[in-house]
Amino acid sequence: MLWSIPAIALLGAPLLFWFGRRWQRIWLATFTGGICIVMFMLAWYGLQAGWQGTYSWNQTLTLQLDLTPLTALFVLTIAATAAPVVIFTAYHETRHGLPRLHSLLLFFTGAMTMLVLAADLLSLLIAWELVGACSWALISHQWRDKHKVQQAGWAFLVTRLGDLGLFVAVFSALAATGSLSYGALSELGGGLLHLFAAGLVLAAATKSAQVPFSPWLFCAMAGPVPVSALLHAATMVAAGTFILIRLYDILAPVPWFEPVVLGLGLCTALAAGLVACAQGHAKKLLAASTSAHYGFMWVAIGGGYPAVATLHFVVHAALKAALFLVTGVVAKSAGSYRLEKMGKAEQRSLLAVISLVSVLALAGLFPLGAAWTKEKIVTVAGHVTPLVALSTMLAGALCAIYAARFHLHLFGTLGRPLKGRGPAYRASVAEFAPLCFLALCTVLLSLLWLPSAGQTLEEWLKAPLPPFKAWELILSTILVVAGGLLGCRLTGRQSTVDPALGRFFAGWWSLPVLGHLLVVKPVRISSQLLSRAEQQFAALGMGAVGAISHHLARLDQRAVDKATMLSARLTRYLAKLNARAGEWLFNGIPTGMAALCDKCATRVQSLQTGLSHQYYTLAVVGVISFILVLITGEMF
Amino acid sequence: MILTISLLVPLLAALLLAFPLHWPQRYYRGFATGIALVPCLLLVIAWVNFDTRGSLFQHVHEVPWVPSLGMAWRVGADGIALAVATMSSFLIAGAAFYPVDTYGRARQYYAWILFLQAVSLGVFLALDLLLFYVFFDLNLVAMYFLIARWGHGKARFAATKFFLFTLCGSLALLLGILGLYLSVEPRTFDMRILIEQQPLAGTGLLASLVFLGLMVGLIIKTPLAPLHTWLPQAHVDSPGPVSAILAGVLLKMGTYGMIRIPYSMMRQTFEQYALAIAVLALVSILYGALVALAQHNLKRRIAYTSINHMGYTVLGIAAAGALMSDSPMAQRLALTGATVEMVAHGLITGSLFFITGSFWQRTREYDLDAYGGLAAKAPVLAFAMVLAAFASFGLPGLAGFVAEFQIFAGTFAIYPWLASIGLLGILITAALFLQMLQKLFFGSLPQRWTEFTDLGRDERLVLAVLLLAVVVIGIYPNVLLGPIEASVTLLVGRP
Repeated sequence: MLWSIPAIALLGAPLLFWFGRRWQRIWLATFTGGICIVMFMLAWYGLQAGWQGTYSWNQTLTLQLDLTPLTALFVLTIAATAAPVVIFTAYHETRHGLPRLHSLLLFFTGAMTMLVLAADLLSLLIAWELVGACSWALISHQWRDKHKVQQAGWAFLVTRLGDLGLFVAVFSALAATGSLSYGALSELGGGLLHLFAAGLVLAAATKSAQVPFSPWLFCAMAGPVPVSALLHAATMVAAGTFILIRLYDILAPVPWFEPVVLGLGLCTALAAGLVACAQGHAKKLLAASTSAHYGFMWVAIGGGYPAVATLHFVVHAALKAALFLVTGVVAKSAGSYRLEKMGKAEQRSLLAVISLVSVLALAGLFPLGAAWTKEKIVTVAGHVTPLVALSTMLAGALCAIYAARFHLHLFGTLGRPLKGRGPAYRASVAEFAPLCFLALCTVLLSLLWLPSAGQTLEEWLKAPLPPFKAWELILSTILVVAGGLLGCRLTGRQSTVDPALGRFFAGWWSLPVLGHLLVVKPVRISSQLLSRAEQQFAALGMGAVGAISHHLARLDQRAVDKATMLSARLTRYLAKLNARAGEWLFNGIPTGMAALCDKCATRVQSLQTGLSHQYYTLAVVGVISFILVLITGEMF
Repeated sequence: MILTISLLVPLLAALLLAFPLHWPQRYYRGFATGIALVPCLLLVIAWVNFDTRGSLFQHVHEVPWVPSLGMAWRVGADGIALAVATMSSFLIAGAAFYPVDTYGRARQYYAWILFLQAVSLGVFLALDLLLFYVFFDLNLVAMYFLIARWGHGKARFAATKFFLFTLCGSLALLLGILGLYLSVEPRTFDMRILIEQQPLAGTGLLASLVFLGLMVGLIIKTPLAPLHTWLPQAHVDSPGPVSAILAGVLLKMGTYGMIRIPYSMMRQTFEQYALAIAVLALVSILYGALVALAQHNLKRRIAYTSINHMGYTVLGIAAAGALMSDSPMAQRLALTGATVEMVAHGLITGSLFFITGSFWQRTREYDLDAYGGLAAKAPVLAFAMVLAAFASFGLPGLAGFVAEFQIFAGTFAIYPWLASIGLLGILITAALFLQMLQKLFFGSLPQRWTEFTDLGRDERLVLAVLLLAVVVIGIYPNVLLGPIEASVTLLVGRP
């Protein structure tokens, strides 16, 4: 039964693709939004009913799904984020290709749900790859722009590089335990456990855009706004973090696992924070902030409290989806995603309020839910060492800086309306409703601050949450406020930082350039070299064969030539010979014979002497010679 | 009996077409397709009736032929042979139906296609080594004429190169076969007896030499780097459907032969050299992928991915034949994966080559850089190619993934390092296919292709059937796995 949750989306998508070509916007919104809502309800119901799902290929390869409180929370979040996003999409995007976009979004959501529900590594791998492929198709939605398709390709390849880690992890689990089920993973040990953990961390780091793989999120910005919203908030990027949370119990015994995850998360949170502070492109600013926030989640996992990461994922989903959609509306008015061009483009106060709520949550300001989870993360970091806690607080301050920048550029009084701009884009009610829903979720999540909420969640997720420490809470809040104020000041100035440094940060610390230099170029060059070498080798081989045959031909020619010449000469010689000796010979034989006969006849004549004793002597000699011939004939 | 009929029907039809018939040109295509579908139907019946708990070879049919030599008309199939044969007959039926320019010589073209179907099925279904060899070589003849007479570019040259190169391989194979034949008492070409007796086990140098002969012959056919140079040229210059058969059917004869002869009949020697074969396969995987990435010719690029994919298959076979007693599960996985890869590669690369045939029919242009933005003019073509390309680099839900997952999962338990390095092939193929799709279909449309037409009805039909099979195998591989696994279990379990 549990298969029904991903299946309705995975099967609904191709149906929509084939039959939905002429559908009106409202039908698209109803169909896809409806499926997301059904998924939400099925997950809710399935959790109460204890649903399970199994599908066997053979004895070894069995696909299993499982619904635990953790996976249910993820599925609910995904469905609750996807529904407003797809409804927004139906009314926001251009009509051309809209059904395709919708069916891909639906498929994307279905694949992500399967990823979350998977209870074995094969299902996980299948869903993991499907999510990646969908992201390619979604990012290259506007395929007439070659640049966007290229960006989609890069995004896909970087994440697929990480997928190889997952492949290795899956294979090492299978080799060690003979099974792919999560349940059998506890048998893993020794070198293969290390390999399993390493592969999984690599895969998770690429998907969740951690250092050094973060820049692929910038490539992903080539896609339409709702794609970014879904990709960052609830699906693709969440996959990496999710799997570390899901398999935390298996991975935690690996001694290096927690320090590495913590280190990567902290580095990403700080580095991506600086990137977002320097970025001048609204979507890329948000993309960097996504990396940073997933970095926070990694800090929580590395600190030993995966439940904190789960909750941060939920609050982040609501606020990030809303912020992307707001950006989309404003950018449609401004005609650009450059922050300096977006000011005063959209002046409706409702939009500004939605943005403000989400931005305050992004910054992590009390009393919003995002602040609660972020402070919990600071506490977790404090459990490791105070230095880590301080670094996390600093990263939080960076969040406040870019959050302030973002909001002030879009809605602040600082931006000047640009002259010569056409009438502002009037977002419809159908676009506002999903936005309001997401903002409302963000506000409602403030309930996390209630003391009883934490206890309930601890019991439900069966995982501990750390208690706050006063000094960390106060210091962190001060830093957030200070960051926000600094952000406001920075936004007013034209250039407060060195532009070269700004470009360095904004370009993700030159990581894309490095990746290009260290990975892409060598592969490209070696492939070209190999291909050229092969051609030359083949040419050489052909050349050798050609040369040999050529030589043979020449030899042949010469030999034949010579032979012909020789035979010609021979004939000529023979002809000459004939002309002289032949003629002499053939003439001589008959005349010679005649002469011989003549001589013999005269000699025979001389025998006729008439003397009888001579006759007798001759007769005796003849008889003796006859007898001698007979005897010798016997002998031989 | 059912297998003999499925072999004889296309053969007799080909003979019929050899006579000057003077039918209207368009009749030949329908006739050939109809005939080619008969073996498909019969093989599906054989597939359904395959007893997964029965003996290794089923549907056996034997007629004495040259008893003094130990040769007979012996046909029969295990799950592996049946899977590959069924895929091949469907692919060739598709090739017969796929519209192509026959330059006014339709009768001869379809006669060769039907002949090719008969002798290809003969290779997969023969249970007699000599019969196997005869069919193996007759393929070359049919392919030579198809490339040389209906190809384009330097077709003669390509056909001759293909013929001579693979004939060299065949001769090596023949020596190996004779070596096997001479080592068994009483002399026989019966595969079942040879598999049972393992005649050359423990004979050292002689076994190695025979093994070398067999493997050289089969590797050239497969082909693995560095004995692959006949392949790209033959692909580029042959018509689309013939390319599809070349990639989908002929290449499988190499890997199928590896499973059938060296793997089954000389298990001990195979164990000895399994690592070397695996390394060779790994080289092919990476080399094929890297060289394909640098190609600007559409067909050449796909041709090189064949080398990469056949590398996966051989890697699986090598892992299945490695000396490892404690992990029969992994070996079964690897060999099953290799078989599924043969079927999947046939369907996927076959589809890709059919599509290149459609490109050639429309534009006479293979240069990738000349294209762009075709998704606007030919959405169905674009969709088919995107699906086939994604299947080719192993996207889950499609047949290639089922194959590659099993191959790598099995190989990893036996040669972890080789499998890990080989995984890079998956990444590079993804890169090269994405780049190819981007160059063909996305971006802006060049002026010269504004008249480009989408796939016609017949083309759509063939591709729909093939790609549907790819999707079904990807989602529900059980249709394929039952008989294959039954045979694989028997083969791997052999001492």
